Formats: sequence, C-alpha cells, structure tokens
Amino acid sequence: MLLQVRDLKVTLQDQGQRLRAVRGVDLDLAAGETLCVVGESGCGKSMTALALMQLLPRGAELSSSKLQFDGIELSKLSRHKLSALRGRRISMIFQEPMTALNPVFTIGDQLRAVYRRHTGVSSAEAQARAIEVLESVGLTNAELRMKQFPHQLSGGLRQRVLIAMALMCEPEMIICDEPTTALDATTQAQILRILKEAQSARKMGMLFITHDLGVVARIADRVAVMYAGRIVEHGSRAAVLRSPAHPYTKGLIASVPRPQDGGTGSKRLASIPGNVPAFHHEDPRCPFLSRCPKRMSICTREAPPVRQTEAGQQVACHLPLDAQEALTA
Amino acid sequence: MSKPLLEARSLSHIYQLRRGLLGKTIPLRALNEVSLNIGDGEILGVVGESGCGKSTLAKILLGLEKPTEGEVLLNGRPLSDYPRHERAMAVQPVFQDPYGSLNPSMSVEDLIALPLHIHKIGTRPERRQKAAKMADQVGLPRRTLSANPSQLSGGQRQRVAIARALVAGPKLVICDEPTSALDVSVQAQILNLLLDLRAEHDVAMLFISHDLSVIQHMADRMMVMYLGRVVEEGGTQSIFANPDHPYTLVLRNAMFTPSDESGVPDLGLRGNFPNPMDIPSGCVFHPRCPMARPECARTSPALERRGNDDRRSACLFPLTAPENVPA
Amino acid sequence: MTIPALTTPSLPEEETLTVRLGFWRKAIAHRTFLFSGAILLAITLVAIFAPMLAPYDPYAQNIAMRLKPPFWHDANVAEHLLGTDQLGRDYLSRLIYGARISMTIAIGATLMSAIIGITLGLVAGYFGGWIDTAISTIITTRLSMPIILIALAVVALIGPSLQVVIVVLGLLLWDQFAVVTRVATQQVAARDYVTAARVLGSSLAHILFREILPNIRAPLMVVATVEMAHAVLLEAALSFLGLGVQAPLPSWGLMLSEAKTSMFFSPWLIVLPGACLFILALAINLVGDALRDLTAGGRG
Repeated sequence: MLLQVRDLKVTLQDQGQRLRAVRGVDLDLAAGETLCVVGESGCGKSMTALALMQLLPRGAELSSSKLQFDGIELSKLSRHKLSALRGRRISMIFQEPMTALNPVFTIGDQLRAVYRRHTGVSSAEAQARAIEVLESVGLTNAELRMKQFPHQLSGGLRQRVLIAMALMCEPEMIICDEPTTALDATTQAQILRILKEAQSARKMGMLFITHDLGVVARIADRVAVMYAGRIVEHGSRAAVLRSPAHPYTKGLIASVPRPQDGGTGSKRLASIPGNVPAFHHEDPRCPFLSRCPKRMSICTREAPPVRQTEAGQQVACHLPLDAQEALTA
Repeated sequence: MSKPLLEARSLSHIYQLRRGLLGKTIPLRALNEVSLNIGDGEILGVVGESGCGKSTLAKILLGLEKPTEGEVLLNGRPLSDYPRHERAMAVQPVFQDPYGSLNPSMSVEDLIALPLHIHKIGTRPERRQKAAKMADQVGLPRRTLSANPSQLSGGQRQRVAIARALVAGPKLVICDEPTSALDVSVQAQILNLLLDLRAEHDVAMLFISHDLSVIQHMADRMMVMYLGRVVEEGGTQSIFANPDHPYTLVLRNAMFTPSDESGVPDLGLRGNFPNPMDIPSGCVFHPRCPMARPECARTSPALERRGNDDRRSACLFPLTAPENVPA
Repeated sequence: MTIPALTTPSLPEEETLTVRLGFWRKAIAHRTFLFSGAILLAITLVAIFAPMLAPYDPYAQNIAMRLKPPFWHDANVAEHLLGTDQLGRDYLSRLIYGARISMTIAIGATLMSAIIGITLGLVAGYFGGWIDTAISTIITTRLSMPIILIALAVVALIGPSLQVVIVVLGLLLWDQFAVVTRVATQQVAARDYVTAARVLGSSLAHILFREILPNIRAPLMVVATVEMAHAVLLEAALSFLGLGVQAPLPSWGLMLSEAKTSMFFSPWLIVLPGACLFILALAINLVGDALRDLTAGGRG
C-alpha cells in the first residue's frame, strides 16, 4: 500500500468552539490507483487532504493511529524531512490555480525552482525538464509560456501549469483537491484527461477530492463517500455508484439532474431535506441520522456497524439498502 | 403564435476597456445580435461557458445595462419606456451567490418584503403577512423570519432570494446561475422549488447556467451561447438528443453524470479559449471546432432554421444535415 | 459490542439556524474592550454629571488659597483634594469640568467630520466616474494641508471660542472618514444585494443608507475612535497655544498652558491634566483597537 490512514481525526477551532471536521477516517491507496473522496461542502474532505500533507490551518488538531506513506509515518516526520517529501514524492493540486501560483514570478521560474530544490540539478537541466513536462500536459509553445506570469494565462492553462508543477519530480502520489471545480465543463474534461494520462503513464496513486459524482464516475477506481467527517460508504466505483448501500449515497446520486429523467422539468429531483450538521461533540451515532428517510429507533441509540455488502463495498449503516430491499422482497 | 412576454431584438453590447490611465480604449463585444423571446410561464435556458455573454444578457434584461444596439420589449412595450416601479414589479432577479445577494444587516422578513417596502405596497402589517406567506411557500420555517441572513445556510439564503423575487408577483424571473454555489442535494431542493413555483405562479424564467445537466432538467427551450453569439436554440429535449452545432455536441460530451462510467472523453477541442477582445474571423468557433473546414474561417454562419421544428443553429456544416449524418 | 454511553449530544435538529455570536457576547469576553470601555464610560459619566461630582465651583477664585498642593503632599489641606491653581480654584473641580470640554469637542468635531466625510465617501464610492475623480481630488487636497497650521490660522482669524474649535476641527478631520467610506462603498456597491435593490427600483437614499451604510459601519466605528482621540489632542494643542478654548473655561489643554509658568514649583498642575489627556486618548484608541478586533471578519 502506498498510503495507509487509520482513524484520522481533525479538530478545528471555530469561534471558540471545537469543530470536529474529520472524525475517524480510514483510507488506503495503492500505486496506480484512483481513489475519489466525494462529499458535500463541510463534510471534511478537504481537511482530510490537508491532513495527509500536514498542511492543516493554525489551531487545528490532528490525531491518527496510522498515517503512513510508503511505510513512513508522516505525523512523526521532522519539518525538514516532510518538506523533502512534499513536492517530490507526494504532490498536491488545489482548486484555485491563481492563488497556488506566485504572481511575481514567471511560470518558468516556479517550475525550475521546484525541480532544483528537490534534485539540485543545473538551471539548464531544470529548464529542459520543465519544457518536457509542460508539453506532456498539452501546453503548446512551452518555451514561450515559461516566460509568462500567472495572470497572463487563462484558468485552464494555469491549472495545467499547476499539474505540470506537481509532476516535475515524478511523484508517487498526487492529491487533487477539487482541481476542476473552478473551470468550465469543456476545460474540466481536458484537465481530467491530462491528469488520468499522467497518472497511468507514471503509475501514480491519485487521491481525488470532489463533490461531483459525474466526475467520480469517469475517473475513479474506488470511491469513499464522506458525510459530516466520516466515511459512510466505501467500495469500487461500480458498487458504490450502481448499487449504493448507504441512504446518503443513494440520495446524493438521485439529486443529480440527468438526461434519463426525460420530460422537461416534469420529474422532480430526489433531494435530501435539511443541511449537513456540524459536530462540536463526539457522537458515535450515524451522522446522517437527522436527515435519513429510513431512520429507525436503533439509529438514535447505537453507532452503526461497518458491514460488507454483496456488491463488495463497506457501509456504515444499521440497515444498508440491499439488506433492506431483500427484506421488502 | 401568441405575443411573447419578453422579446429581445438583436441585442449587441460593447464594453469599452481602457488600458491604463490614458491608454486607448479597446472595444469588447460581449453580445452580438442576440435575439430571444420568452412566453408566459416558459423557462428559457441559456447555457455557455465563461465569457460567452450570458451574464451581460441578464444585466440588460434586468435593466442594469443599456444595450449598445437592439431593444428589449416586455409585453410588446420597450423596456426603456417602463417606469422604474413597473419594470421592477414585472422582472425580478435571483443571483448566483447566496452569500452576496442578501443584505447582511436586514432580517429575513425585511429582505422578503423589500420589493413591497420600496414601492410602498400595503401597510406594514400587510407586508409582514405577505412575507410570512411567501416564506411558507419557499419552505422557510417561520422562525427564520426574524433571523439575520448570516445565520442561514446557503440553501436557505437562496430560498430567501427566491421569496424576495416572487413576493411582488413578477411575470419574469431572471435566474443567473441560481444553484451553482450550492451542494448537489441542496441544488435539487432549489430546482424542485423553482419548478413548483413556476407551476403555482405561472411565472416565466430565464434560467442561466454553465451546467448543461441543470438546463436540460429545467428548461422548455434553450439557447447555447459562445463568445457573445447564439450558436443554437430550440426545444431542450430536441437539442439535447440531436445537437446541430458542434459546440453543443462538445458541451454535451463534457457533461458528466453518475451513471456514465465511460472514462474521460476526448472532446476534440483544438487550441485554447480565444481572447474575447480578438474575436476570430468567420465562424467564431472555427479555431476550436473539431469539424472545422477551410470555409469556416471565411464565412460567418447565420442563425438559421433547420427542418420543421423551431430549432435554429449557426453552423455552415450542421451535424444533423443529411450529408453529415453517417449512413 | 459495547453500546456507547450517550449523554450530552442531542439530535442535530433539521434546518438549524446557526447560533450567531452577537457583538456584545464577544465584547464581554474581550479584555481590552472591557478595560478601555470602562475608562471611557467613566470619563463620559464624569462629564455628564460634573455639577454633581465637582466639590467646588470650578470658576470660584480664592486668592488666599492659591497653589495649594494635593493631598499626597500635604495631608492637612483636605478641603482641596487635588490642590488649587494659581487663582485658588479647586483643581479637582476644574479637571472634572475639563472632561466636559474634552468630550464635547471630541464628540462634536467627530460627528461633524463624520457627516462630511461619510457623505463624500458614499457619493464618490457609489457613483464613481468623474464624481469620484472630483471628490478624490478634494480628499487629496485636504490630506496635503497641515491640520494644526490651518486650524491656528483660521482660529486666529475668526477669534477663538469653544464653538469655533469644534467647527474648525470638524471641517478638518473628515479625510479619514471619506477615504475609508469611499473604499468600503466601492466594495459593498459591487455586491449582489445592492444590484438587487437597484433592480427593485429603490431610491438612491434607500440604497445609500439602508443597503450600503449599515454594512460599512464596522470600519467607520474604528475611524471614529481614531478621530475622537485626534480631536481631543488637537483641542489641547490649540488651547495650549492660546487659540483654542478661552479662559476661564477649564479645558485640560488650557490648564496645561496656564500651569506652565509654575510647573517647577507645582508640578501637579502639569501632571494632572496631562495624565487626564493621556488616559482619555489612550482609552479611546484602545476601544478603537478592540472594535477592529471584534468586528473583523464577523460579517459576511
């Protein structure tokens, strides 16, 4: 396993209150695999990504029983060793490409600096490498682009530069936090293609954070559905998307408008009433409790057990959906 | 054909951008001869990517910008002739950002009743009663009426914005990306609400979105815009099933749904998004079009009717033309 | 499997309202605010209730009792707690009445400059274009004028009095209000709720005073405190130079000026009004700092 995470917890400070953003998350990622962490805003998916990179905001508390990358315990690494790892063996791509690039340096400066910091090669070698990587992410006129500043590029081009920067040192794992959310649909498709190509060419492990189930369907090998700081369902793409076992996953999939609905506006979308709750206290019970249409009395008393379904996914629910269907059949 | 509620006749809008303090002004053509009409109770979807002019269109229809050319008719009367009060009663907006569209120093009740308050309709108790009724209709609990918008979630705020838009009984609501800042499950609630309210109040909507799946779900008819021009328009399901314009096809291929696991497609798009200040010759889409032919760089295609239905598209070699349909 | 004990956590309620930590809830937990606010409140109360608090008439002269030291020098002269000045007036009473003068000038001048500055800033920020250019030029002109010299010249020309000082300071201290209002208005005017109000056909007054002004009050409160402290110190300076409040009014600045001849023999005559000025200016500035803290990022 490239990445192994057990019982990851992140607590933030929110107006003097403790906000439990991530409440015991387990993740595994193998080389060459794409794991999508999907969830709505406030579910803790971005905090999970930042915790893996040890980049949490100030005042955040992190705990885990295991946080290993290639057998190295990340939470025990010195700052120096950590920064040698970040950008070289683990890279990260953020949602907003403008803020992730330094506006006062050219693209070339920034790409070369990353490479030279980690490899110590000459400027000319770094230049050659930068051009090679920029071309591999589909940037034309790479040499010319290197002389430009971030604000001279469009959003799609900036995101390509960011991907190129992440790929400079041939990382073994790449963490993407909603890298296409700020982009137009056509640009999103192009960027995702580039990412997937780069991943399969280099056998990278990819942890992809998104809220978009449509994107998940196109790129994921495995899917982890997060809700209120917990993973409520986890399994292969086919299992989770085709036969969701958790009522939340099912509701989330059903609320996406899709062409199969046919008639114009004739069909109502299934929606989940209410909002994502914030947790200030430990609460072992199912986080979806307050909004679940299938809530039972046991749900209000006991923590949901993690079950294995027939389709092979793991689900934290007292009454997973296939068991339920079996019951009604 | 009955007289449309709103009709826009070849709207063009040019922004003059100035480079530096004393630099020359450069014209930016945000809209180019856009015509549209919306019938009573109809939802017209406008889809396009950033820079396609859809937000400029919304501003013109709301009377926030004056078009450089062309005119907008509401019930057959030019919008510019309407007194401020009457126009405000007839056309109302719902904006994208639920965090920026509500005055944080007013209560929810005051926000909903604002249109009535500004035009001094009814007494204060009457206005409060109407606001409460509207809150019920958009699914806001009564106890939120005295709350401040900062206490509400994004979805609740958007409900407040919708209640405010509908409280004065407008004929047309301009929805500019009303759900793109919301989570999917909340988006579904808001889309359902808008469809319910349309049925109940018989209000027409111009629904602007960058998300084809939302337009496809909401709109009766739709318009596809690219670089300030309409490239295709007509019945939503018909366009969706058989796009005429290559750009519409590209947009449809770029739309991802949870049930489609076919991998990331190659859209065949060439080059990068063009500079809106330097619009290509001929067909504006030709530098990127996967099917462009040499002619496309020279001749600018007109928006033409194809076949029998009211579909129109601007392409020299439309996808549904008989010679382009593979046997 | 053990059943976890569930005690405190209740069911998260559907569609809950976020609890809003009100300004006062936060303020009560803010130590600087409590401390400086208490001082400012105390000085204000002293100013308001001066006639009841002052043991003597601040104008009553008694040559026989002149330059009596305060209690810590001579415990026997208990009838004048803080001693007397050159004309035998009770110093404590004069200091108490001095708070009135300082607060009147601080509030009066700040109020006047706030009205001028906020109006100019709102108009410039909302309309933009040539109106903005014109008002910005006025602001720049004002910023390039030395306040104290202009004030001295004007007061010398018209003749000094309490009213003149208030008006002159009010006409000179509006620049920060204008600058801050203009920038804040530009930001708020671009927000969708202002656009929504415009689409609704709101009057200009509604947009400026209901949609924009309430949402920029936080930075303006901070400017107001800075200008209040500024006005207090300027009044003291003018009075010290003899071009501010005129004798026999008990202004702290004037008291400093009157005491300067005897400051080596009766240092308390300088120290006491100086300390009063220092404490008032410090308290106002600390309240401003605390307001900046308390309102930062609080509104969305």
